[in-house]
Amino acid sequence: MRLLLLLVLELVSPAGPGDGGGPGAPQEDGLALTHVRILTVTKGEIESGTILVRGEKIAEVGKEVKIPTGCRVIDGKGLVALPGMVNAVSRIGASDGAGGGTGSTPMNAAYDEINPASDAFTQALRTGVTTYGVHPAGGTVAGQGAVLKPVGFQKETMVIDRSAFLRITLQASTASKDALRQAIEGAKRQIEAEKKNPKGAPANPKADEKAPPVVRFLRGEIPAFVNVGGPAELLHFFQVMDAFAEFKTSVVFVAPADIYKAADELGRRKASVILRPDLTFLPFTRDRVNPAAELARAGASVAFGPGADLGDLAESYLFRVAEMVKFGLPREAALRAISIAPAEMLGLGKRLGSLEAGKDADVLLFDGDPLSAPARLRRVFIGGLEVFSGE
Amino acid sequence: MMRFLIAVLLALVQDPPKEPGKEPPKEAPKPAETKKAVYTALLGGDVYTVTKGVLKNGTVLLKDDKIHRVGASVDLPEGTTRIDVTGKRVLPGFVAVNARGLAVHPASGKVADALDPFSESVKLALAGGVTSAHVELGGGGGFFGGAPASGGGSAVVKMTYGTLEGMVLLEPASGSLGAWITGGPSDRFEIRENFQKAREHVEKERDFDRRRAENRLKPNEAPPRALPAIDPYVKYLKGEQIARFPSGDADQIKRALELVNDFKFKAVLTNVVEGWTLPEEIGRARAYCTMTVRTKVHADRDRSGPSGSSIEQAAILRKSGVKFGIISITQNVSTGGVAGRDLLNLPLEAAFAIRGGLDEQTALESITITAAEICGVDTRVGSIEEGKDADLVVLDGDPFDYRTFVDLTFVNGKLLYDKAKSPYFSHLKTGK
Repeated sequence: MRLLLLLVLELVSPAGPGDGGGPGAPQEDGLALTHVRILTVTKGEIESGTILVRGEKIAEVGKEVKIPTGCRVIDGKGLVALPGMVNAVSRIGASDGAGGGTGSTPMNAAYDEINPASDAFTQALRTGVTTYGVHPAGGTVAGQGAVLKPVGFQKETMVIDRSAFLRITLQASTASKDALRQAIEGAKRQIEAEKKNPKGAPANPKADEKAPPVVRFLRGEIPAFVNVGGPAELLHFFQVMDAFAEFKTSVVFVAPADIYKAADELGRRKASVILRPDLTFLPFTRDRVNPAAELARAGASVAFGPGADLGDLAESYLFRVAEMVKFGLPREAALRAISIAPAEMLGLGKRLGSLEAGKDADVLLFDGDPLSAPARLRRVFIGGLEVFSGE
Repeated sequence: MMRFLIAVLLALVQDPPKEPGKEPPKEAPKPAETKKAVYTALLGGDVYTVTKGVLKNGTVLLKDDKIHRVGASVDLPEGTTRIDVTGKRVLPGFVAVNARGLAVHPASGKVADALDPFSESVKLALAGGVTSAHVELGGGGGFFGGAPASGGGSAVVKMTYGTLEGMVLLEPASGSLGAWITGGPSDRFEIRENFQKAREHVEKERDFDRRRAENRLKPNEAPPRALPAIDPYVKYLKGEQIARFPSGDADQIKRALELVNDFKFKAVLTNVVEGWTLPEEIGRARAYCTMTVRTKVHADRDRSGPSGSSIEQAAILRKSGVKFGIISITQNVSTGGVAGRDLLNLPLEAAFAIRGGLDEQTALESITITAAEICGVDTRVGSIEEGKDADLVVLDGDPFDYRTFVDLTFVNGKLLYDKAKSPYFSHLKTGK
């Protein structure tokens, strides 16, 4: 597999900047990125330090790091390191269209839709996103999402988690609310039946075969990513789910900008929300509103997603995030919102989303502050492999 | 309590037509008893109770989502939020007797599941003093509304901006018998047949109840059950649901009244134009009307006798004891076109009826208590009385003066509109 990767890397990035070693494969003796300004995200900034990578993981991050002999060294003087970004709301490599309607298709799996040979995986490397939450196509209870990294050329190696979350799209309509309620009730019945017969064969062999992902959601094993068209749909979701308050579920809302109108409700519930980093306007005015800042102020947890995997939206992502800072979102919160926050929402906060020892060696190197307009992404490492080096 | 009221009755109202078997609408679920009560008092305003006259310089005390006390002097519990409205007028929130797309997403199914409490149209309706509205699903929805689909859900909803809690007053609120007016002969045959079957069912039920009371039921005899298709008609006959007929011209009104007279049920003739030509017929059938007073329709030269619109319609109907609600031309809030035609100016719509000879009291009732009665929610809203919902508007002048603005709007006891803080209206300094 690594050979294959190397081969292709030769095609897409024929030469890394002169650092001695060939680009690509992690060395047995490790990799050291030295003299870089490190934005750890979770543990502040290091003006000039070293990131030591061993295998696929970060071994050490700090001002003074002892570099082992034989270690490949990249002198990053003038470069700024950011953890690889996490886009938790993606359709990368999946077939076109996101489904629709108000049906219930929880056994749909994004995993089955992913085409590992899709060119998008190669093209997207330059956007700085190193982990994707891929959503399935489907109706109200759409199905199961997968988490993947855009390297590996085979589904089995790309995908970190085949069934990482349940995707729900709630509309403000009786049909949609009923579909959700019925799916939850079915799962609840299954859980209750299993409690009564804890051993042996499934207690209820006739149980809805669609239930398992929803059952896992109710048990708190996987989160649900709930797509809401606006603040009204959010309240309708709470109205349905508050009847099942006995289950301690974890929910992430994927919402448009006007969700800020429900900021108080979201803050009160300490909700997690994924937005595009875009400003909006007070209705019928040109007065700008920063939805992310409003939500953060109210106490909700905010993550960003570019809104597209390729093209302008993906390539202007950090510029748009910078604009959110310009209009009132603390810089710290903005950096979290593109890395550790979406990683946590995917349930991978311990593995991804910051530059810390023990985490995956997904590292971006910019030639300036990532939130400044002239900064460019120069090099991208995923799991210690250099997968992109700037044009 | 009521003896404290300085009753300035603007008009004595005739006995309303009695609806057979009318039930009060279901109460909204109460918040947990453990919650501490929230008191809000509006002090010093002229209180237009609508049903019990005007109380000059009175106090309205709200407890949570209800009107707790109304009087000249009211003891205020500790911790009461006091709002000084001296020199202003306190009225019950206005009731939009027909509305389209207001506060709902376009959808099918139940209105309760399609509510959009964050719609800007809700905010603007509050700015117009509208606190409740009869809405129907279907059609275009959105900001400008659209024609409701026949048979779409209907409900009376409150303009509870930002929350679904306490938003639905009544659902289903009414059924449309539009097919009786605009459909073909087979539609009418079917409707008449359904009424016939419903009547037979009601008689069977009565017989069952009678025999049960006399202990003459057969062993294990089950109560009679109506087919689902007949169910709405049974509800009309029992007065549990109101039937609406879109009936503008005289022919349509006559056609609607024929059915109402044959089966005796609570009916609303909507968007009535030529009702002034048939006041006694409508009065005898005890049918309600809704109208836009300033609608203009030419007289029909091909017909003998009076036809077309009349600005006197409301006053003429009033003389025959007909009850009516008044509504704007655009039955939503619009942000384009000509100002003053939408729900933002409901009292001015009623003012046109005064121009046509109607007394002010009845005009006020047409956008409050009578509109609520037509919607089936008059036990909850439409007047300022102890125990009713705390839906109030504070006006900075006479309700029928075109210079008057809404200052404050309360829904379920919560201040949801304050002109001084409104991005739409705070800049207006009207010199009052």
